[in-house]
Amino acid sequence: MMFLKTWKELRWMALTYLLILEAMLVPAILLWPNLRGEMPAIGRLVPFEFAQRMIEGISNRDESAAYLAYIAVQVFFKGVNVMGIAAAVLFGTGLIARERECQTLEFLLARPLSRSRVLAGKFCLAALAVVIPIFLVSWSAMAWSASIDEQLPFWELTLASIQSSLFVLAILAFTVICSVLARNQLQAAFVVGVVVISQVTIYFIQEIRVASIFRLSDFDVYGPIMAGNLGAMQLFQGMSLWLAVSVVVLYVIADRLFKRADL
Amino acid sequence: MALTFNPGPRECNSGFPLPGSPDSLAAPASNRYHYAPMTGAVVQVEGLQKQFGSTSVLHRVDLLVKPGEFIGFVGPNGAGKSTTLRILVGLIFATSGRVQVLGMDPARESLAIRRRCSYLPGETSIYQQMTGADFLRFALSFYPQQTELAMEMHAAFPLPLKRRVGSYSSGMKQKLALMASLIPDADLYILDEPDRALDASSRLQLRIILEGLKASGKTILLNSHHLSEIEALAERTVFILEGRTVAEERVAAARENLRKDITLRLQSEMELPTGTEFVRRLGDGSIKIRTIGNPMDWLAQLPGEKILSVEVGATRLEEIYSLLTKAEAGQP
Repeated sequence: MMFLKTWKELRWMALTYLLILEAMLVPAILLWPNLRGEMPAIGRLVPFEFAQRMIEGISNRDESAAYLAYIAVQVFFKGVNVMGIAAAVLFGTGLIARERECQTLEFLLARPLSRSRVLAGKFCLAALAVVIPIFLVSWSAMAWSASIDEQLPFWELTLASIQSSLFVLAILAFTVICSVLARNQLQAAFVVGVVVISQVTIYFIQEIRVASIFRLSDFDVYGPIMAGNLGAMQLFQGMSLWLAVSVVVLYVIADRLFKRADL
Repeated sequence: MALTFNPGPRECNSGFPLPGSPDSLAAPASNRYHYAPMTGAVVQVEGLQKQFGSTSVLHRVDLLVKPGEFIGFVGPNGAGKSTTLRILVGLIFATSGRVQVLGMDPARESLAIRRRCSYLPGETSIYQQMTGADFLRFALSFYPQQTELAMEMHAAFPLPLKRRVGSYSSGMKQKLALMASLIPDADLYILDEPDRALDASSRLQLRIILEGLKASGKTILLNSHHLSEIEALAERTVFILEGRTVAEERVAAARENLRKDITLRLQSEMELPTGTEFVRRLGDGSIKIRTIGNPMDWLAQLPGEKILSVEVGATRLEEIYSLLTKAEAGQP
């Protein structure tokens, strides 16, 4: 019943998020043949080193390699980093803070239901609602690509989806901590918003970029994955592992805080 | 409407048994909880203190509730009643003091407590997007057993269960919350202002239902601002003022003081005998007098033909409450 209730609350938002992700992808793929020729000109306008690497990748003389780089940017760097994080913040901040704000949390926790179970049920469904659209949209890119005579590798797409999902799940887990501590959803969203924006700002400053979490979800990660230069073993022994550990640690912190919170 | 109660529990597997759906009345044996019989106090609170940051809300609360007792919990707004009740079910945690509910510590075993205790929160809301039936099904799905009250509650509180809760009035929402809290078969019912937003007839129905629970041996802790309800239902009343429970001796002293009160209606104006602590004229023309000595001796000095009506030593809960709160505020 707990799962069903949370699913009913999230289902329309999750569907909207999926449709927006897909709506961002389809025109990007269908416009690919026209955009390709304009890339060098766009590259000259962008001052950032990382962005120039993206443009170089997309401007590759090998059309297949260029298309893989383009998909890495469109689906993962742009799509997931914008919409995935927005969805994680929207779903995550509401999990506990909205119940507290609507004064339903006390009624819910007055039932014979442990706080851990409440949080786990809500977190699992929010995680699925955030992650499943990433996989669906990235796999759908294969079908859309076929319509413009391009090919996408299933395994590399899946690997990039796993990496971006772990990144979004880490953001979701952090958001849940804020949701547990905040008096209302807006307060939680404000804190997460400040952290995410400051991380984006850090990412754009070359000298301190190393301190930004967005380095784990940028073209320098997805480009090599899509090109087949960054394999599963390297990922799962490196940054994917650390992201997975972060998700678990952040979730455990949220659970501990929730157990000790005065409602 | 006459209501009948069967104290024997029913078991259900999927929550709320809507009228005409007997399918919900059978549960697999593995779902049943086997409760240990209660021998000691159901609720035992000693020296309870609670602080929110630097604000101290409870200074010293002591409470003892025995099995099968119906306790009224009374005090002004902000006295700490709801805070105490929320500590009992483990929704918030005590800063210091000893708290035991059904023999367990709410800070560590709140889930086990909530399996045997049904709590109606005072300031709460219910899910606006659900229909009434969905809400009941959801709320009751966590309890393995229900009393026969399900049907009785339907009769007592008729609600359009197919409508969304968001379209309900505040009184209808309160009835729904009451059904969700009173239908589960529990050992202890903790009810925080159950009569909030209810109309007079619904309050009467609630009183009948609570009497039924009381008759079936349930332990009930009731917080209400309607003192007449508490007076009618509770075997014992615990007063809480500014975060402290009032000692029973002090309540007894207040009651004793009130026994010296006389409410008198006279045929015409006359000079009253001496020996009064105070004389107050009431709105209906009668006179309230507190005598220094025995009120009957004082009354004997009045000519009988002058007295239209007299009431001696009536100790209403409202008057005890008024006396205690005035004393707390330093008023005469």
